[in-house]
Amino acid sequence: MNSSDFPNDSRENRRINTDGEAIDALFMATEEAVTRDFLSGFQNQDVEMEERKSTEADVVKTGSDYWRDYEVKRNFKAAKHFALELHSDLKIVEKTEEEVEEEVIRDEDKSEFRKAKESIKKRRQEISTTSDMEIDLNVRRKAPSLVELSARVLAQNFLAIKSLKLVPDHLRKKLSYLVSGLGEFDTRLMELLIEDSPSEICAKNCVQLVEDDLVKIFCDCDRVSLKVLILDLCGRSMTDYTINQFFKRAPNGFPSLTTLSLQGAFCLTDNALLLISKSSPLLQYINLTECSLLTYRALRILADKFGSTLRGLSIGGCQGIKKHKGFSSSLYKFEKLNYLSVAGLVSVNDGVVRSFFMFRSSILTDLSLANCNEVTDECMWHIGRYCKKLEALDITDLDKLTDKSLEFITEGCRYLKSLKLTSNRFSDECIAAFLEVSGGSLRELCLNKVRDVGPETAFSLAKVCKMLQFLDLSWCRRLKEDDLRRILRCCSSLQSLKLFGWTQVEDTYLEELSRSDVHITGLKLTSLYAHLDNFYPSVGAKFF
Amino acid sequence: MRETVKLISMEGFEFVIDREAAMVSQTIRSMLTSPGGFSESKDGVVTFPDISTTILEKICQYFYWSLQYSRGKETEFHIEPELTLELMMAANYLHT
Repeated sequence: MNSSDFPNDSRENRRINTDGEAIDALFMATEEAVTRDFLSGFQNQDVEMEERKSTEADVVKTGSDYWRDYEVKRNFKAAKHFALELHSDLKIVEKTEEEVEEEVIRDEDKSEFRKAKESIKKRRQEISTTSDMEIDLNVRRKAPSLVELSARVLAQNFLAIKSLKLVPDHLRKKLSYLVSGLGEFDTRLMELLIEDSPSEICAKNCVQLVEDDLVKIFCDCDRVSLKVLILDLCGRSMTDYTINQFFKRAPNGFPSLTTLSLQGAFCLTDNALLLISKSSPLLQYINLTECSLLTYRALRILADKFGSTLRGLSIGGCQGIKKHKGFSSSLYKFEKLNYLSVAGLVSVNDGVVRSFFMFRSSILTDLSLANCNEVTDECMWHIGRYCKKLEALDITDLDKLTDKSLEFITEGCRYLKSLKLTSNRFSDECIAAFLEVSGGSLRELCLNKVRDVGPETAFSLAKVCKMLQFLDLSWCRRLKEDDLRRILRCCSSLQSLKLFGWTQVEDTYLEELSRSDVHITGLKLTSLYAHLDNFYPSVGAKFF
Repeated sequence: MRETVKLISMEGFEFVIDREAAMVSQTIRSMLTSPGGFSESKDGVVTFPDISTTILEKICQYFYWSLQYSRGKETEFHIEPELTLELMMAANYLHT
């Protein structure tokens, strides 16, 4: 693209020299249109989706024409405002957000979400307490599998294992996770896991490993057949020294590696990541959660190396990735992401992710924005608008979200299977309306510390969520025993229920619950550490 | 009279158990119920050339324990540590 095609930006008096700058300028130009769209909801979706697909091509083809038109329009607008200021008796009457919104609703048919909300308001009188709702205690409880039982005993006695030869990868993985859970994962077990050329090495708790252990393990394993490498909590051992030593001994690295998880590798630097990425050309999924030494440069390295191939990226909790203009453009380079986690990043706000959602999120299935405190309703609007295939969404602890956000998600994301709303301020009616429209496909729902959750939500849960397997209602203190009865009676697929902070359950009912088929944690029935279970898959768990 | 099936171990030991108990295993269920005139479904005899007698005995015990469990009698199923690795492999093959 020739820089001479573009006129000077009158605000900054400089030429646009790179593609990145051209893209940034394009986003600035479309910002007004986006804001206008944000107010008018979901009008003309299909047309705009088509337009969006051709936008980038148009910019390349008709760059100069576009900018010339843009300049003319902007100058005209400025002149108009100046003229009206001179003749102040002619006042511009602009409609407020509410008026625009009302007009849209009047003109178009009401959305499903709004219809659901209205029907919820009407049904309030109908919801009565139901003492007849008993749990069916004659349900056939499924016995734990023999694989599960024997794996547990094996994990407790893993020191006696001499060899894991001929044990298939998925059983090694299960055993590894169980031993990791006991906090006893050591070098010896790691050596057992790497023998016999496995295609997967999975270790969820590498706290006890040191640098030399890791170098030895990397060098001894069959790197050609290795496709999945999970070394979580390897902070002590995953250092520059380890990586450099390994590449001195094995310059080819990991030629077949497709999945890499180094969660909690707090000594991992940008340079080490560069070496790893150079040696793993086939990487598709990478988890760098809580790698606190990484900076925005790490994201740029990944974007340059795997921009067109990476399918899963987790950089949640990488506090070294601060606000930087390169963050947005690097994120934009990932063309094929199915999974993205930017949980807890201070640098993430509506502006940063807007460009990504507008042009790159059509195939996104799993997204985590947990604890990104700058994210607002506008971001949720973009998610609803562009992330049509979203299946798992984590919006834990986002203070600035209102009921509008849940409406946007309801209208846009029709395939949601997992939703985490922990510590948000959504109203009871709003959550109930969401469930009425989208609850049928949900497998997992987390409403932990959503204070307003009440009988409306419980009623909708019981009525619609027949596929729900995991439910967290911890600290939802407006719910009563009858609501719980209704949920347990009607949610036929429910496997696990969390009820931490529930003091509103009578002892007699507790006894009934202990015989139900649902795995309940958080009441008097369970130990203090019961919340540390593996029942609740995190967003992106299927990738790592 | 209750229907039974015969499971034969690597060493040739025979375990005659209720068909319902054997059906706890998805693999055995497929062998006994699949159409196509397989010898297992005709004769009700399944041979396991890779599963030792000790392990097959434990598996048969598990089948009955599993039935009891699903009927509400929730007891603990004890597994000797020295059997676990081989038992896990066999259970994986039998889909139990």
